[in-house]
Amino acid sequence: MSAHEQFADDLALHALGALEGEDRAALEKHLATCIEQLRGDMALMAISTTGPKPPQRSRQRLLDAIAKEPRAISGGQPARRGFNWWAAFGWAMTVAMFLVVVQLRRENTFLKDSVNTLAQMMGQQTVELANARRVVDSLTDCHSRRLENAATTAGQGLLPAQQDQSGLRRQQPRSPATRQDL
Amino acid sequence: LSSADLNPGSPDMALVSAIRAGDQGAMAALYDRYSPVVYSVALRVLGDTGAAEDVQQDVFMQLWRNPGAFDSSRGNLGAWLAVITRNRAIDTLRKRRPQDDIEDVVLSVVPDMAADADRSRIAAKVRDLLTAMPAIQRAALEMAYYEGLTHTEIASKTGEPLGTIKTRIRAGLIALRKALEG
Repeated sequence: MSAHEQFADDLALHALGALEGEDRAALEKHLATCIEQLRGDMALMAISTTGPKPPQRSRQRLLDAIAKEPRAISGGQPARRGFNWWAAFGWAMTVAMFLVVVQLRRENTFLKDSVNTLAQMMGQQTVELANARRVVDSLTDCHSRRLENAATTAGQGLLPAQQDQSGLRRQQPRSPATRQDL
Repeated sequence: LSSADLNPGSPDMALVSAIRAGDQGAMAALYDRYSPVVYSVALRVLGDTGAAEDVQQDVFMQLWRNPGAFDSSRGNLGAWLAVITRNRAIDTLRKRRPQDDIEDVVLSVVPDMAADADRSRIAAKVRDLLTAMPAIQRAALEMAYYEGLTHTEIASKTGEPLGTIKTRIRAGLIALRKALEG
């Protein structure tokens, strides 16, 4: 108790949160030690308690109770309440799985968007390919003889032309006296 | 801490080690050694033999279920059991749930009480000291320890100023410490 006196000033500073560093550590260590010693003193007071002995039945009651609770633990490392690593591992796995699911959902959405974009591009390219094929078919048709730009020939008194879906005019086969053979 | 408390070969440590291994006979031996103290403290607090038996049963069963809660670095086994009993009895008296875990009961006991004779000698010394103490000082100490009253409740019960009660309890503890150290 006498050692406690020298910490009186520090105690006030500690209460105000104004004590730091080694002084604070020393005070806290002293307090913990002091409390343990005071508890020890009070324990001696408890030990000094006198009274009748417990009835004999209480001994048998205890022995019956422990016989019903044989302990599986043996060897006897001191049990400590502490951090439950298994529980922490379980929670960590749960969080990890949740993050994986979220990430997979994001990737799934991204891939769906990509597939849709590609499908649209393929549709456009299919149309363009069909158009190109029609142009090629027109150019390579064995019945075609002459190809003119309809815009430039239709109004010049040349032979009537037929306009197909490609936007070009295909002139009908004509007699050998045509102006230009293909 | 006494050297005997830290000695793995001491009777208390041998009993605790055997209990950790699930030895029911060791539990019976420990009961025979400490049940007079445990029962006396419980009866002193509760004043009822049935309730005292229940508290005693509870204290020993806690030790049986979790012997690792006590280890030699945490003080003398008899003093530790006495403090746990006092705390459980106060909880019962106040009809409240246990306020602290037995693993949290840390105390420092200076006198060597490994042997039964030493424990009896120290207990007699404490009793003499309490008897020699001024009645009002002893009453304040006992109300705090055996009835679990706060200093405010003691002041209200005795009709004396709060500061007076604090001073008496502190003076009583200092006297106890000096007598044990002397």
